[in-house]
Amino acid sequence: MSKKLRANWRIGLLSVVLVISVILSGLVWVMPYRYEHPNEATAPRVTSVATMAQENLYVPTMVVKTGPDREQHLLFNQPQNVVLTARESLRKWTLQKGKQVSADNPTAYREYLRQSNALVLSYPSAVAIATFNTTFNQKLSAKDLTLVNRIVIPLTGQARIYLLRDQGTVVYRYQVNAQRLTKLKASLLGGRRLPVEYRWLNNQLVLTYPHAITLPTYRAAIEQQNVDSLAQTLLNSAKGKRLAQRVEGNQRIYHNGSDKRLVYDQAQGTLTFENYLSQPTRYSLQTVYAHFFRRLQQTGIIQDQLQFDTFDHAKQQITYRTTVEGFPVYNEDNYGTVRLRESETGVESLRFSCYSLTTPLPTKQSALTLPATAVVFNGLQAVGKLKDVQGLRLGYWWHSDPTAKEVTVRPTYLVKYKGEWVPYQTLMHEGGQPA
Amino acid sequence: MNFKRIQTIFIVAFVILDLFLLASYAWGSQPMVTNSHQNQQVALRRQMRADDIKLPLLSDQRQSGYYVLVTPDQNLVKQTQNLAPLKNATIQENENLVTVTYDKPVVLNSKTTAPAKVAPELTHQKRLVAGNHYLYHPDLSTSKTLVYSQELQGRPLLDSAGELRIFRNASGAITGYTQGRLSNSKLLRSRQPTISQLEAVNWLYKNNQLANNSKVRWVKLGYTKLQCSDDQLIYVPAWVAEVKNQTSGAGHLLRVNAFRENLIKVP
Repeated sequence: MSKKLRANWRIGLLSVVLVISVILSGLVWVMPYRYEHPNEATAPRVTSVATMAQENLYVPTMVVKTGPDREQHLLFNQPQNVVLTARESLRKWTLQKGKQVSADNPTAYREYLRQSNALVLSYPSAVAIATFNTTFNQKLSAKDLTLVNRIVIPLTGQARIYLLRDQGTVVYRYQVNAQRLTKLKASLLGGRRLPVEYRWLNNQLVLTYPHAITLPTYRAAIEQQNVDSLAQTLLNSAKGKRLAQRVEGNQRIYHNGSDKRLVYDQAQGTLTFENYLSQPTRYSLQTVYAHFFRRLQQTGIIQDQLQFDTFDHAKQQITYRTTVEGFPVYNEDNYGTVRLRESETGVESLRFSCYSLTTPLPTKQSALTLPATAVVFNGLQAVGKLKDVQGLRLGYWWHSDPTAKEVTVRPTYLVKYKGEWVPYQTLMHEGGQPA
Repeated sequence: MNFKRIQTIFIVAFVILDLFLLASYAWGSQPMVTNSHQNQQVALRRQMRADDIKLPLLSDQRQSGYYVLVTPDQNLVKQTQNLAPLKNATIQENENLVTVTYDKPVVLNSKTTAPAKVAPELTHQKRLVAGNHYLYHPDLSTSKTLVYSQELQGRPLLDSAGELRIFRNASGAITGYTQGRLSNSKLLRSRQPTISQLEAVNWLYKNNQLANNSKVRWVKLGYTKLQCSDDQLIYVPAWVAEVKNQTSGAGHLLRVNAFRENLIKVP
């Protein structure tokens, strides 16, 4: 037996090295795939330089503080900026040992949001855990929680943090190492606070305002981007070389003759860019947010005050929106909004406005008062529209004026009605205008 | 050649192939983003070196700051005129900057000639308003001109509206000064993140603001006027760099808006 083995050891060894080389060749062969789609379970590694701007884009925008008696307040206008301070602090902490503590239980979910002496930071809509990792310099696995809507930070020094996902009402608890709360607590001082309550409305978690609220107006400069230079950037044209363009009614159409096209609607100030890719690319949930960030960087669009707003996974469509002090800004012509989409058929599309909000200016208008949320809901109920309401948020309205150099944005409730966010007044009576 | 020999050669060849594949696999699974970004930074540095541009040590730490609304101090000229020792001095005002030329140069004693002490001493002697509220900047100063600035939100005000320039003659006596003073600051928005010192310099280079054969002497984060709104001024954090031509020695200041990465032009 041993003699036979000794005689054939070369054959055996040859088979082993052959099998290894086949396996390794296979691995090397599929590597381009690995570049574009990092393993779902291990979120991309964080680098200090490349991801800095991305962490400014994907941030929670709403801050709610729960007091000792579980009373809750929305915080805004704090000079230190609570979200920025939380980000700076969290980047130094280490979150680990994630454990699911609740799921499929809306009541329990709301209780986690209402735990006493805690801070709730909410994203406008869910982000991938990889995106959370980039913003907060963590290494959490997407095997546990794939998406995050809210971060709950107890302020009592329990060395715990909760990450919450609205869809499926999932709550994960993480242990925190090296937690220091001093700066975060100090950042809560000053600014404004409004009493709030979390409520479930048609299966959506909504932040409601039990009393009438008075909110400041904000003023800012408007910058109109040069469409010709945007066209040059988007259509990858060499500087100085004139792009083919034609005018059809209100539209000016730029094209590079093959795969790229930009349509500028001069009346609305909107631009629609289409890029026909040779083949469709499908991005995983953990990589798609970073992909859209990189695409946004390449567009040349002004990104002042722009923040992540919504992502539709089925459509592969992301929306970035202008914000003031964490509040979303809406406009009838989508001023200050950027929408990017990777369609299944291989068309990459980008829709945005040539108007952006830039430098903040001192406001000249006084504060405005909005009714309690219950009053709005009653009004919607009275006109029979409440059942189709999928969400409500406090935001600011930017009234369109193509000639204006600056604008005062005014607070209003935005209601998500049949998939569209509209000012609540327009639903009360047809053709109504926001305050 | 016998069969055993062929087998041995094949084994050796496949072992080498395996090692090669293993190496290329390990190399390929390095995170791409890190590599490409570090490479970009290295390539940029190499390009700058080739263009003979000299840089100080730069930090890649991001900072933060505010949009601040400030008002120039309208009372400064009146307060200056009310100072008794300035009775015979020439006092001029131009766009909220007050320029004082002493009737005869002021000689300070040896204890107070240290540049940082000059402004407080002149204030003590009632020859200058609020000179103790300004911070001395050795980098901006020369032997003839001492430059001081006010502070805003913990950072220096790096433009003339918040600056104090004290002039000395060849023998070190003080001949006069130009003073700008800002009061009533108000935050327009919450604190916001800025770009880093390194990013500011990279931006300057990529946008052809750093000529060949130039030297960046220093890069400081300070507040600079962005625009006016009625009679108030809006200030933003800006990375201010002093750039010198290495041959002629001529220098100038460049200001990069630290919120937006664009150049702030100062008239």
